[in-house]
Amino acid sequence: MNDLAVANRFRGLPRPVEHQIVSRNPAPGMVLGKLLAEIDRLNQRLDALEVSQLQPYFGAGTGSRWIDSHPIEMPQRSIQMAQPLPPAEPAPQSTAPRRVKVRRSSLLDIFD
Amino acid sequence: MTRYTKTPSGKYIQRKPDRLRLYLSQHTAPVPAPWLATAHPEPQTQQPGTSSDRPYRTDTFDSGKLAGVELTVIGAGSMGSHMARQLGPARALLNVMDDKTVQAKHTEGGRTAYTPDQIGQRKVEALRSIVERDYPGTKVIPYPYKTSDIPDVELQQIFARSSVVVMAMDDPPEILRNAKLIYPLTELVQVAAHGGAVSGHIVLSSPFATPCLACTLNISGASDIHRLDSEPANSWDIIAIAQLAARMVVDIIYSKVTGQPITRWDTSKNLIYIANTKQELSPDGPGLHHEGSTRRPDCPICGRHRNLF
Repeated sequence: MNDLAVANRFRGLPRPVEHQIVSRNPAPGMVLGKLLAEIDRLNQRLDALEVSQLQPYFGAGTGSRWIDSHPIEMPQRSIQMAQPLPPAEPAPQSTAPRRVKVRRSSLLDIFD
Repeated sequence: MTRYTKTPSGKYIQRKPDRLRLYLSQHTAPVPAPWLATAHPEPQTQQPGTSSDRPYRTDTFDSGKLAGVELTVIGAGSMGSHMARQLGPARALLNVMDDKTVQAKHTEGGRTAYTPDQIGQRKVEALRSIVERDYPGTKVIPYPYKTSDIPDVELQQIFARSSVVVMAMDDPPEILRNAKLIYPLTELVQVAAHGGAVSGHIVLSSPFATPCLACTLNISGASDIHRLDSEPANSWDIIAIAQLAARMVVDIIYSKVTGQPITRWDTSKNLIYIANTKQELSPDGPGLHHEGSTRRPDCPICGRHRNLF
């Protein structure tokens, strides 16, 4: 039986390749070293993913499936005020109505 | 008998009997279209006093009274298309005039009411499909022409039937020609955006009651108006102007249908300036500025010696 298996070994059967975990013809030391290196790399990646899972994408969850599931980097800045905020006591405003008129020339450059 | 149907391009196509449609109409029970069921819901018995039987109408406004009113919108660009869409809930008959087609740039960033799948269609046809789809009961009559291609007599017939004519176009000679034709016949609402849409204006003209458009703008001819083509602008600013103009159109129609006076604004002021930014006329931020205007005594349209026809 064993002789038959050996005889059929090279008759159309798939030859063992290097990356197969279970090899009929392992190269001692070489494949195992590569596997260990791969396992180590995957472990490092898992650790990195676990750490990133703890960080929220956009601060508190928004409840929006779209935003929560798409971690897009969005620049967020505070609103820029053109003028400083007034003091707590507002200045008294004049009661006289404004007398500003529409300049008719400003109505003539138009688009629809 | 052979029947022909005119297409928007002007060609005639022969109507052929559809055997499948004939068979189905004779052998299947008619199914009411869902949109008709929505437009005319069956009266349901409700417990009085519950919120579900409370109508949305108020003591001063019932949108149902606007149904069937005829309006005309000249121009179906960014302003005209957004206005027509805003007027959709009135269930009116909308005549829309524009000879152009929808281009890709018209659909970018909400510049117009058109959608990317309508690129290449005539604007008036695209607008009809949008408005009639979204607002059952509203009918759009498309006129795929420039107003310059329509003779005065034809335009006057359309304007005379219209409760309000909305002019949302930027062709200076046609603006003045149409305004002259409309002035003695019905209310005109001219709406336009200025450079960058940082502001816009609405001119209201009522037959013999207000100055005409030319007097309100204080212009002597078409060369005084300058057209801005493909003007860069924020679509929300354009829509803000269109929305405000549509709201005023609704007020005018409602007043004409019910006889109820307009109380939302001072009707003696027929120029409304819309500021979309903080500026001299609206120093605290976006706002409105209403202003009256005077008719010029020598105006051939609204002056003392007017010659209307």
